[in-house]
Amino acid sequence: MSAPVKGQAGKREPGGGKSPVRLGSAQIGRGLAAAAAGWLVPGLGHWVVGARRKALIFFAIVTATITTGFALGGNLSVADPRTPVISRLQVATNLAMGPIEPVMRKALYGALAYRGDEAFVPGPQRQALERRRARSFSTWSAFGTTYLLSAGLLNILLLLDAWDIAIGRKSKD
Amino acid sequence: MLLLLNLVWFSTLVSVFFATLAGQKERRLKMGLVIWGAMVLGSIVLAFLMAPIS
Repeated sequence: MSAPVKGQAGKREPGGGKSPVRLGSAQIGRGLAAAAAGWLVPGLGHWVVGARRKALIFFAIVTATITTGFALGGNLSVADPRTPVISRLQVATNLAMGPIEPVMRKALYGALAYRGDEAFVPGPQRQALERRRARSFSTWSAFGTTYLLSAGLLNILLLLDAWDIAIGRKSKD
Repeated sequence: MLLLLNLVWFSTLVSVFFATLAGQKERRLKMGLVIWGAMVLGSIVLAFLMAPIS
């Protein structure tokens, strides 16, 4: 086993194994910048690291997924005390879509309602939860919700991919 | 009908995504088609298997 090599994250060794990952601060900075850009706008992380064709494809796919979810009457998740773990994971997945998520939440429900326990939320948030419930009665709402969750999950994979390209672990082609 | 359209549309989005993300440049099309076919056929097979007996 060779000593850790700075700046060669995850490079293959002749034996087939990977060398220990030890990133330089410049690499970490590039990786974080790419991931942050990818969170701000889906695909922007790939654009920043030079994979521009991929960036356009990813932007189109994630945007199409969000638009379809929105059009089908999909709902954004709220933290439900009856299912605390899974509902919080769903909220985190929604937030992975980027700043568009709170904008959509405000536009759909009239407030940034993230808590689902109606007994403990103030008036405007309660109204938001009622709007959310009314939206869930539409025929294709569950499908739309799945699209919205998928968009968040796809964007998480994009952030990780942009990170890998930025630190040099993966080629941008 | 809209259900089938959803199946095809969602499979298309996901297969193009993963083919672009993980596929090598020269094998991207093949990989996308394999993912798309697996999603569509798998969903139809599951739908038949899980359909309630009438």
